[in-house]
Amino acid sequence: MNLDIAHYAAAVGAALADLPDDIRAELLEDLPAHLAEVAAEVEAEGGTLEARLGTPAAYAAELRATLGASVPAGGGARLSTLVVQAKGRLRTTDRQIGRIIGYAGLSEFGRLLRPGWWVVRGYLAAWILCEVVSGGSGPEGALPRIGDSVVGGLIVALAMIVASVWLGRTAATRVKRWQRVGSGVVSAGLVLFGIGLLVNVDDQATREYGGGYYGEYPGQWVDASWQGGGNLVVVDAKGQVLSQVSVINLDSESYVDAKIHNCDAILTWEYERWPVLARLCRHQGLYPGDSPTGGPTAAPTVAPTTTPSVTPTTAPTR
Amino acid sequence: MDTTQLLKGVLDLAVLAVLREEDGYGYDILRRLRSAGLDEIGDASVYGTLRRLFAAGYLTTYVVPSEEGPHRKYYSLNPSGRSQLKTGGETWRGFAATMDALLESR
Repeated sequence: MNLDIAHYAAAVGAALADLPDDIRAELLEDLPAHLAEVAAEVEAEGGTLEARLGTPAAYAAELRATLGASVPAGGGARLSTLVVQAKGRLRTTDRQIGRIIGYAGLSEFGRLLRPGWWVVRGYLAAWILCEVVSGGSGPEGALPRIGDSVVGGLIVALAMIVASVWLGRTAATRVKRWQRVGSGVVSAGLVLFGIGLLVNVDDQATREYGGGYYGEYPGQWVDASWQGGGNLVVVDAKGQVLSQVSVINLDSESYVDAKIHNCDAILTWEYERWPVLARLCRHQGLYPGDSPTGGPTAAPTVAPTTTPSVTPTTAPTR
Repeated sequence: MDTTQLLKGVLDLAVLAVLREEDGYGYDILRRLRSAGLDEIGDASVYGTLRRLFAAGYLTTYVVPSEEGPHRKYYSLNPSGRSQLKTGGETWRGFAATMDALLESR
């Protein structure tokens, strides 16, 4: 019977969700106690709570009617008018979006998704709990683990999901402001954490399966066949081409016999010959022609001068 | 005419009136109103009205522990509630007399 009362009160609370928090809290504060009173009487008379009181929605509607015009206006009358208008507009948008997806309203659809969120919330809480219990050895995957035990982790997850669903089902009976604010903060934290977890898992997955990716960055671009020699370019972790570097072979304890290119003195023909070098340098905003030195076709600086500066003058003869 | 519409306006007064002689708890007040002839009154109306009258400062409450079953919250008229009942009653009587006269003359 007590569970019935809690559920009934929760359903009434849900139907009044659009009321301002303080008014709603005041209306619902005593409701479970009152319903318990009614239930005791109704049982003594041989009936059931719902048969006597009608559906929670009907009860909520009747309760709402008792608010009448007495919904406090007070000093914030103008503000409350604005709030009411804004809420009206929100409700319209809610219904319009709802029509598109085939529900009475977007919020209606959201309410249907709520149990799903409770399950996800329980799972995330279990993941955090397992991480704390295992000494925070860092994220290893999407499954919660106690130490190395996935089974243990899943048992914890199951327990947390059950707890989370129970919390969700009875949430409407906890109407104190701090309880609502507190659960909101915790939920927001869990959502952020969940997104972080998703990104982390996705990152690991794409790194694992993305081996064929040919990128500009080290570690993704390994050529095991290189024996030394040839033309090289040295890049840092961000793919920036380093200049004035040398490569030393530790086995032979000597500089490798290779030409090491960079973007400082690159020539047009070098760009054409090594497209990768061109791409790396363009990535740094350097293009051929920007470079201070000319190409191999640059004209020699010494050119023969042919014009004599002095021309012989012939003196006129008488 | 639907009496539930009429009732809305005078529910406060009706609840204050049944508390004049004796304090009562929610279900008990509902029963008193029904036995007085307001059969259509619903539990939520009474509960909501009690909450509102309490918030407005017309009622005081106290809890009576019960050996069997849940504790009961009793509502009681305070001086402010009594004066509200008096002025509300006068307003009603004046209004009812006007309506009576109006209906009589037709």
